[in-house]
Amino acid sequence: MTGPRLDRGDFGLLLLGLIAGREMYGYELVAELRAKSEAVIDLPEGTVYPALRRLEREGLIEGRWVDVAGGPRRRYYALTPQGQRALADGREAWRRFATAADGMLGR
Amino acid sequence: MSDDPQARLRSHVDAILAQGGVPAQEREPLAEELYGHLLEKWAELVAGGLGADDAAERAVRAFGAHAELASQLRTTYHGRLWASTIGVLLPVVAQASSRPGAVAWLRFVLGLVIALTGVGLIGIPSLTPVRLAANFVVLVLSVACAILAFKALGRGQRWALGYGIGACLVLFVEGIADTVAKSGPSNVSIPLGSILSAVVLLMVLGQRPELEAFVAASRRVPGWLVVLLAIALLAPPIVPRVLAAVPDPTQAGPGDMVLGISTICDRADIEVEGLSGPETLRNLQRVTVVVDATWSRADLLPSGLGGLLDGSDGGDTAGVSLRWDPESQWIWDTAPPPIDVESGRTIGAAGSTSPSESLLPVAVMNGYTFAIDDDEIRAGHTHRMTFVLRPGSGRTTPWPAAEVYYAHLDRFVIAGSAECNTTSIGRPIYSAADASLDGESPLLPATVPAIEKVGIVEDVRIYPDKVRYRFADGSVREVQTEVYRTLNAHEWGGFGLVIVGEDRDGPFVAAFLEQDGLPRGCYVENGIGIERGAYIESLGVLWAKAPGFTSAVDPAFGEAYPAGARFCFSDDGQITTVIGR
Repeated sequence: MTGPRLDRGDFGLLLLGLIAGREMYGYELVAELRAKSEAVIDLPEGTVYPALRRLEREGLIEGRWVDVAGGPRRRYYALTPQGQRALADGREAWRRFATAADGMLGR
Repeated sequence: MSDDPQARLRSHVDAILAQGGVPAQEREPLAEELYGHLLEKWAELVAGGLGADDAAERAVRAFGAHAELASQLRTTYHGRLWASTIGVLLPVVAQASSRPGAVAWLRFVLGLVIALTGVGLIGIPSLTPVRLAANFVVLVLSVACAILAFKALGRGQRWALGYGIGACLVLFVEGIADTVAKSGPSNVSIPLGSILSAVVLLMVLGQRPELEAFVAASRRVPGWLVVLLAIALLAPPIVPRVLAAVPDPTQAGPGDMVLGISTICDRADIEVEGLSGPETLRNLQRVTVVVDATWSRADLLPSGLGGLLDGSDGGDTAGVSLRWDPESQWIWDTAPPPIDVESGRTIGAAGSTSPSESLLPVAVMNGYTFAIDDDEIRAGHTHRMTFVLRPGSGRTTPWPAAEVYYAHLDRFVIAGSAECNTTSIGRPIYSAADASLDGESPLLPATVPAIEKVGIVEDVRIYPDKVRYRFADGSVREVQTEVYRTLNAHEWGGFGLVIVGEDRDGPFVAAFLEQDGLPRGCYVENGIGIERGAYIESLGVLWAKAPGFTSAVDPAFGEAYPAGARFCFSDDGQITTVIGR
């Protein structure tokens, strides 16, 4: 039996959670995701970009370009007010789900 | 950083974006973002001690396969349906070679298919509802797939190459079939589409290696998409033909109308317009033919959406012809308009016809007709048409029998006959759907031919382009073999009866020979004959019965004579006798 898998919505929620702390760019998000999940979540790095584009198109995050000396520009992402509400709702739903799952699986 | 690792990173980004369906205005910023990520990863790996090339490979691997990331981008920008269809069919393929010349010609054929299918869409609004819906879906699917194939072929997609070749094959076969169907002895149609597609197919064969290289980098498309594309390719030539042979369930069929025919023969005082004003003819013979068409179901949008907007340009035609002694003459005395019995409304005009008249035998068109407005047809209603006739002369005249034909739009014909003071129910004698099933163009009811020459032949000379007959009366007649068709197995005939005539299908020659065991002067046709009142339908023509006609069997109107019946023609081209087996 395979372990639990992230669907698109869950992955988006995790990104919203990371960005909520501070503005981040793609490479930084991947590193943060790996570090905070202790490498449990270890997706191909490129998958973060379609997810970021989707969140941006849904109006949950917004990006801005920042020039970097001696290298390509970076696109930093921050939550929009709509994204903050979506994160709050998502957290709540996730907690209910996790509590229910814990109740069935045992702590 | 050397150029090679940098190029490796850039090519990975290009591969992702080529198939990602990213809108043009977002491609460049996204490319910059992805490249920036790969570059930072590469720098980190190099700083960790990896060589430049190895670091580039590792960075690319960690980033993920381009196909998978492109698929995620397609879903992000266009949704799952787009990503799984157009997103698969259309992306640019990294082409391994330059575009072969055959690609341009295949795209030309696809353009032709798009144009022809577009033209087909113009006629759609006049179709009945089910046919309209089915044809619309098929044609739109076909146009959409042809447009996609047109674009995808230019981008080196293998499926589009297959689609283009398939379009050529369909065009070729359709053109040949059309030519075979339309060409006759006097006309030849040239299948331009077939010629074009054959040339293009030969070009494709000649450039196979180049075409193979051109689409080599293309990905396979899923099986269900292949099936959809095959349907889009094959449905336009097939579906309309199948639909034509299947009755549209929204339309009334021959079984939805009962045609009642009553012939009342009596005497009455009839007022006529004399030279010195109205005068009354006492106790004159009168024939009243009452035709009741009772509908149990009416058509839904018989002329399609076009008819709803512009009004129907169709209509029904009812016609009556009388069988009578050739010496006598009956004339139409009064012409009350056709009415809806239930509502009393006038639903058409007497002495008039509608386009459906083309389905009626010529004999009827020389008789008396009513035009019925098909918009007036209501389920549960009866349309009554009354024909009142009187002798043309003051003499007592043999009573006639009435033959009635009713043509509903271009769909079906119901016919029947009623002798004096009898009632009968009509039978379907033609349906467009059945005719379509038989193939070719609709098989219209047989017509009474115009006879150009009839006589016993004493000499026949067959030349490459004509046949020369010398008749017993000394006359000579030549017929061009390219213009005239032969009706029966005797082809151009021998020493027997030859009838040269013309019917709706054009000029013809029919030849009949005497047979051993039958009376002299009986020129025989052994084929199938159908009872048509004053006529017998055989070889696709209505042959008149001679005065004093006799028959060993007496089938009902519209019924076939038993197999083995032989039809005796006299030397004036009329059938005198039907001899049983």
